[in-house]
Amino acid sequence: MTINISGIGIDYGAILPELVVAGTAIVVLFLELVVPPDRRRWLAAVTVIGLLGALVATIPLWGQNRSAFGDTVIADSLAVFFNVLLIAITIATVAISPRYLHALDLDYGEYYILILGATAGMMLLAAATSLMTIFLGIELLSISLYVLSGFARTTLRSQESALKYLLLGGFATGFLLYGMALIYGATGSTTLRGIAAFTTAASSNAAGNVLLLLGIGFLSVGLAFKASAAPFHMWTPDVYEGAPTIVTTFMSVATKSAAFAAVGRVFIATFPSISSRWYFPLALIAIFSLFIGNLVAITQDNIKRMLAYSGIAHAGYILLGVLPGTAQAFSATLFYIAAYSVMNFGAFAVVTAVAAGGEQNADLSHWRGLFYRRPFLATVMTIFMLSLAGIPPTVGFFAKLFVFQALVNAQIWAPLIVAVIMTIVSFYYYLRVIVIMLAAPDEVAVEKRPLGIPTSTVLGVAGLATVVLGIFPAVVLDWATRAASLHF
Amino acid sequence: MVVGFALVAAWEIVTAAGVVAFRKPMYNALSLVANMLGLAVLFLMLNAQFLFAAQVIVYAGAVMVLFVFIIALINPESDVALPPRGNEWIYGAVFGVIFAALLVSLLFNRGLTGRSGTLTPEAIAAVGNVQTIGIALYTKFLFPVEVTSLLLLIAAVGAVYLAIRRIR
Repeated sequence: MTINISGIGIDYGAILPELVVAGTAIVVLFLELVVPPDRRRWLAAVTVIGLLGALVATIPLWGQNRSAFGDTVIADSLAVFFNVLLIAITIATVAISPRYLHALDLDYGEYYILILGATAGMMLLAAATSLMTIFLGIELLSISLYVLSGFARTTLRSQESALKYLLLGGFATGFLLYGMALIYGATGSTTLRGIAAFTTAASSNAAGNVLLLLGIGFLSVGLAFKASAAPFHMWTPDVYEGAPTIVTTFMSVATKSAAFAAVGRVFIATFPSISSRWYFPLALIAIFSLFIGNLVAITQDNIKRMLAYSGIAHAGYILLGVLPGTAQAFSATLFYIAAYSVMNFGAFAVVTAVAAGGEQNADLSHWRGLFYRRPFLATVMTIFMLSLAGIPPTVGFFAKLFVFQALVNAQIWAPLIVAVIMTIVSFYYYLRVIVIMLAAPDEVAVEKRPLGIPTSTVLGVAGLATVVLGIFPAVVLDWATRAASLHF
Repeated sequence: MVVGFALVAAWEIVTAAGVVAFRKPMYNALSLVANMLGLAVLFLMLNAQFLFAAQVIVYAGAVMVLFVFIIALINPESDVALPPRGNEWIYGAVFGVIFAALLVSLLFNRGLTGRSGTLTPEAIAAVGNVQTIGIALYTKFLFPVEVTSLLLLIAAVGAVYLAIRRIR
């Protein structure tokens, strides 16, 4: 018996970015053994170099349509769009990590290995065209993040965060896997191409296939959990609050982006023929997220919890662009994801920088008078808050505008009205942060530590990008439009 | 065949209820072992002999032995019981019944419409059971198998960090 693997399309070029990221993780694993403990910054440097290599490897794949390894993975513009976004997020995270980890006495090499593992999982999820690779991508990123959220092992909140994320995440994975099994049972294929061929064939009556619809339902629950969309958001505030802030920074933007890449490939590319069946549940999830995220965020006094609920609300806005089920509308979703990544990363990075400066307490009352203590941090935070609220001339304004435009074009009114009203509600809690930072300072003497060049560079670039993309959104919108032509 | 399936299915439901209902951790674990064994029998009835063996060795064997060891390590006195049940089981029961009713009603109203596969007993017998799985794993599912190895590596790094990394 011989095994013939020539027919499955082995193409290392198509997965080169993922290979480079995974390879960097293994290199860091070995370097960790030889680098002396007080030189662990070198590991961050190696990580950044590896990520830059992955960035170089991913650019030539733009505009291609290379399906590889028996249709389990693909290199196309959508994958490149997310690869660039995810690698940029990871580089920025790693750049500001050493200072924060050092302040918390957590600078172990495992941190970089796990961050790279999570990034590889997210990139794989964005490139996955088979239920098996989608599942493995989600598990790779989840398991890395379970450990990372418990990375401050001796802190009770961090332990609670990791355990809660692990248990609820395992529960959601059960739904995801059950849904995939049912879809496989109904269609007889694990690849999205095979599933799409089944659902679009007129003879198969996919819209009346109970197994398939149940499977899609469970799959949506699993993906909504990862994107922290309501009503599957219960874990988000506690995990975001308890995890080390640098980990929260990373996962709040990267996980959500990667999850929506899978949502696009599954719902828009694979199930367009039964969009009437998934439209209503997804619209409900979006409306729930908008309501719960925005309304509960108002009552939060802890900046990390407030941003967690704001993240739930933004999952709702991002999901709105999926509802019309067209590539044009999905480009609005992609633009929103990119905008959200920049501004939300920035906001959490400011929280991280404040924490690394010796102010561990994330209670909003401790931010009183931040303008007078740390003018740079407070200024960029103001930009990010304005952008998250969607006030021009920031990128957040155009993100919301494009998504709303897509809904108007598709004549989807109810979710649009909810979104507009909730945007106005959201002004309250975003602007409140600015007001608190501007308020007269308490007479609390806080030891000031300098920000360091990497942190100020990352924050400066993120702040600048928020404003510049708000004035010239066309460049990213053009990329998003070209990446939104979905393949499988 | 149908009678056999009904017997195993009843066994699965009873043991699964046991996993949730017993108040002593050791009994929960042993119910889970019984449940895994029933699952293995189901695989056997579906002509998946290799999966049957793997299920018995890996899950009913290795994983569950670890569970039982850990329970024994944590409670050497062996008769430690969980605290008495509060009211929370009512919520669980209500949601469980709603969920089960949803599944059952959907299936009875519309009927099962799964797609039959190509691997009939004859097709498997022509190649061999283990060979069929092996060929599938290393051709069609080569990439997922390789990704799984990365997943296990990352999980091992994480587990080692959480378990034995010395705190300064």
